[in-house]
Amino acid sequence: MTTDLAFSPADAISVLYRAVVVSDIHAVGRDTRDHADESTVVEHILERYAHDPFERLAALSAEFPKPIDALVCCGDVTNRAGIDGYVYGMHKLVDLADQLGAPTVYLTVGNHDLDVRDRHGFGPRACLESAQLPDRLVPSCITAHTLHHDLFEIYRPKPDMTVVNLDTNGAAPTETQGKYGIVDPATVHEIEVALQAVDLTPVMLFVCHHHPYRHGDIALSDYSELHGAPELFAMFERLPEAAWLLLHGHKHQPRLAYARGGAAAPAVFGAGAFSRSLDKYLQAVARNQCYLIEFVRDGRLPPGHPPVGRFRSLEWASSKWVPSPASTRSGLPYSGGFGAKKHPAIMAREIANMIGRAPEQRMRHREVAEAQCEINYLVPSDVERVIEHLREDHDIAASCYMHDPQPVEYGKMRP
Amino acid sequence: MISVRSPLATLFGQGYFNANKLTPTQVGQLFVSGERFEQLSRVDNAVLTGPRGSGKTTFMKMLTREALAHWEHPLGQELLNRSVLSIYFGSDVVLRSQLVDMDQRRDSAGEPDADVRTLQRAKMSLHFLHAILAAVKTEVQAGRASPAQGSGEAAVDVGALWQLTLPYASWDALQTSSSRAIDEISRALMRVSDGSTEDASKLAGALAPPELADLFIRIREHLAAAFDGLPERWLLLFDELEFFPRHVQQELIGLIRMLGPEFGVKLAFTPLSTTGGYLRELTGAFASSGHEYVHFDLAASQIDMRDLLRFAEKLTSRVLGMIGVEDPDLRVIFGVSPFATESLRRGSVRLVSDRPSDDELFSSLIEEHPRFATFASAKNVVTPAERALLSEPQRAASVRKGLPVMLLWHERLFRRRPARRQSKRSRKTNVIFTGYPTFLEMGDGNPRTTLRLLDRALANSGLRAGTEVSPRSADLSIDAETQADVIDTEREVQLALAEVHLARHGVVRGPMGGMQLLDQLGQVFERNVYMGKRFDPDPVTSFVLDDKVDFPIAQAIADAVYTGVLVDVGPVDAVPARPQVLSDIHHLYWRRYRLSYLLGTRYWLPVRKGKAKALSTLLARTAITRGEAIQQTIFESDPS
Repeated sequence: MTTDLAFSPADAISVLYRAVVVSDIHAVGRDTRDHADESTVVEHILERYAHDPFERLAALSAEFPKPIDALVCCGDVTNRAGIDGYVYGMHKLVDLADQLGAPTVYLTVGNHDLDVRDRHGFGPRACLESAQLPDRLVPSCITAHTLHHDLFEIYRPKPDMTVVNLDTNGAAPTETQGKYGIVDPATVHEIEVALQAVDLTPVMLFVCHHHPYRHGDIALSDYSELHGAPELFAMFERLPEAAWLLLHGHKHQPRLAYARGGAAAPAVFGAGAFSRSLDKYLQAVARNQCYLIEFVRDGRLPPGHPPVGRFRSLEWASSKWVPSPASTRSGLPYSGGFGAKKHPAIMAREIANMIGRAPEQRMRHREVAEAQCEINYLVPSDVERVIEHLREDHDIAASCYMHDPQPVEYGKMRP
Repeated sequence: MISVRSPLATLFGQGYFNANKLTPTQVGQLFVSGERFEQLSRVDNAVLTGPRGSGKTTFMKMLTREALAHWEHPLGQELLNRSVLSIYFGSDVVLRSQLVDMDQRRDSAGEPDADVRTLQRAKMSLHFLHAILAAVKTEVQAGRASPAQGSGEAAVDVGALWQLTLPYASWDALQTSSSRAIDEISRALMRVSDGSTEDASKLAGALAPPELADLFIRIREHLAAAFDGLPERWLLLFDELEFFPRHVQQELIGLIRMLGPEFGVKLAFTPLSTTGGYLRELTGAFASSGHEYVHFDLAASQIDMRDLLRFAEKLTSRVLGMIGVEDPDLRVIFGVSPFATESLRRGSVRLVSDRPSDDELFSSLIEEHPRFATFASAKNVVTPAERALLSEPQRAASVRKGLPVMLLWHERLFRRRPARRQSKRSRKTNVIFTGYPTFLEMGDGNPRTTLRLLDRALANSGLRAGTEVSPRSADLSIDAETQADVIDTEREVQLALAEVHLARHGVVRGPMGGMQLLDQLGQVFERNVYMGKRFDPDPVTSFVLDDKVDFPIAQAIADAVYTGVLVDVGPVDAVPARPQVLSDIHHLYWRRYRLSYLLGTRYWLPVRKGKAKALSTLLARTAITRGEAIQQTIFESDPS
């Protein structure tokens, strides 16, 4: 394989948690009424052709850094509440977890996993009851809350790491008809109380299906965002400081940005669809992607800096997973980070000062990243801004290769 | 980790097994060496032709230093020790579509669009530049070369060849700037496709690449000054030339004429009739410029049955090793073929058929069928005592040679076995063509076909997804029915490819197109095996392409050879002294051809080359012409 998924090693970095993220599978099983054209994971097609995104991802498992602590799925295992699709998708998820060596699967509920229109006549939770993760892959809760009863669960896989899993389809999903996500203020309050009771850990991962902010830039008529998100973000602000990552699916548009709030506002990671066919406007702005995410402590950051994150992004190219291209305009680039919030203009000035002193006035990126460690953990759009500031304000050009938004080299531009 | 449905596709990341998509490292790990590669590696200049999937790209990639470094073979180290910088120039789908499809574009006066041409040349040459930089990078990373003081200035000079202005003096800056230029060219060419030529005109004015020869010579000079330890001699490996546009092909002709002894050039392509005489032009360019060169044609090289099998065995064992099967026993995995020699059958764990020994079988067949009894009586080999008196060559000629044909005859016309899914007249493959070694021979020594057969067969074996432990041979047993199904599928794939190319020739004889001609030939061979008045232990199942054959037929035959449905089995002993046919396919004349073994199963042909007759004779004496006559009669009697 040609993909090198390993992150650059550094003695100062200790990995706290490592997860593979797949979201919005939209698997279609034997029941052909489930709109097979809407997914690339279709049972009767994959039986005949070898272009199975799950198998191709598993084939890369040797190249993933080890160990993988968890496989995270942000919902929509099946398409349009197809029971066959849910069973097929769950089998695929379990196989993938086994092949990656992930001991745990964090699975949240997507709107497609609920039969809100009672298509099968067995109630909205028919799919969820048709297949369940084997016990060995189910994470153990540290509170008595359950997804089914309380719409959230809290896990603590490691002393430094807490995972909150929220069902954003609401207590009565038939009322929303699957048209939008919802988190009730009472549920938010319950989560807050529960978290205060168990204490926060340095890294907090919050997994849900719906997006907390409208993706109005790609669809003006997007009203499916999470109702109740403002209350949720207010809760993050009230809680003690931690490195929060809110991981969601649903919109199929990959993006990574910070939520509203102060310096400790959570990073919001919108995972692209793993295998949902991309139609209409999405073809121009999104790709089918999956991710490897690491939460780390980096000793090169200023003392007291909270844990940060970094990711690798793979893109489905018809028959195999390839490193995602560098542009942030159609999904997340191959590599990036989150958790460091230095202003791009300041970062650019500091890099420019270093380059000004370097021989031949050029420097390799790895030297820059060693001295200005925050650049490794800026979100991809901020890295683009740093490069822009370097060019516009300091006459410094950056050489980038295809798959990596991070430059390989910087050099003072010739007059 | 092994996938159930396509174990090899999972291993190589692709399901069609094209070396184009493999990295040089993967090619090095998979490569099975042979005499032809050794010969190719020892000459300075070469033209390599061959059918699709015959290993041309593999050979070309194997000559790169990255692949050689991963090849565990003494020759690998020997080639690596030579101070030669080998640079591989391939192509990809995007490049092909933008270079070849756009090549048809004409301006209002009907002339080739000059701006499009310029952009195509710029794109192609920048593509070459990237290949050169990648080769240099490999050398630097391996510690065999290092940048000299101020080497960045040379990058600026190289960029200036395309009028590229680098933001600062560095090879990385050159790579970035040239990548951006390629992107801009792609966008401009896309807009040309949409009908807007404005961007193309602007960009064509800004980028003006020099001639290829000039470019290579100057880049080599700049790199020699910029890097210490870089080999002085360059080996340029141009692959898949059939996908390059005509004007780039012509530039390569110029390149061959211009290059000095510090360059070696090896070019590979499939000379289907669509390449229109390019082979002749290439070889002519080498000859006229005084460069010594060798033409290797992977189609027109005599493949000995044992070599073919040895290659397939090695490739299969290597691939099985890569998916974790240690010391694979092919007899256990595939079962033993009814055509296998006695020594191979002895001690086998699993037989496809419950076949007795050769001698017992011969006795029972001549007892059962008067046709064989007559033959045995004429040869005095009726009783075991008579046969025991024969010397080994006599036994081979009169007993062993005929036995496979007798076995096929018996199996097809008399054998009562539980009905598979086909009748006696079915064109589905019979299980008699399965088992080791017959199943491996079905690939005709074509690596891509062999890998596809193996992939499809393994997909139905005992492999299970998520198998972590090394599977044993016994876990992989592939039953005969599965193998027969795989042969059917792969035969259809081969025929589909041939159909695409043979359809271009239209009718080649009477009302027949190339595919019908092949079908008629298959039926002629089939009749020779099954319908002769007397039993013939070595029936005619191959033909010689002689010069009495009409040229359109010869061209169709050549395309059939290069798509793999016909297989060269070597030259004839004596070639009549006649003027040589001057064409791209002259080297294919006076050689013997048989149907591919895959196609042969459709006509129940023995898995061997068989006796040959001149194609012109076959065409003149058989129903091939009668069909034409009948067709004409029908049209003549048409009152309209």
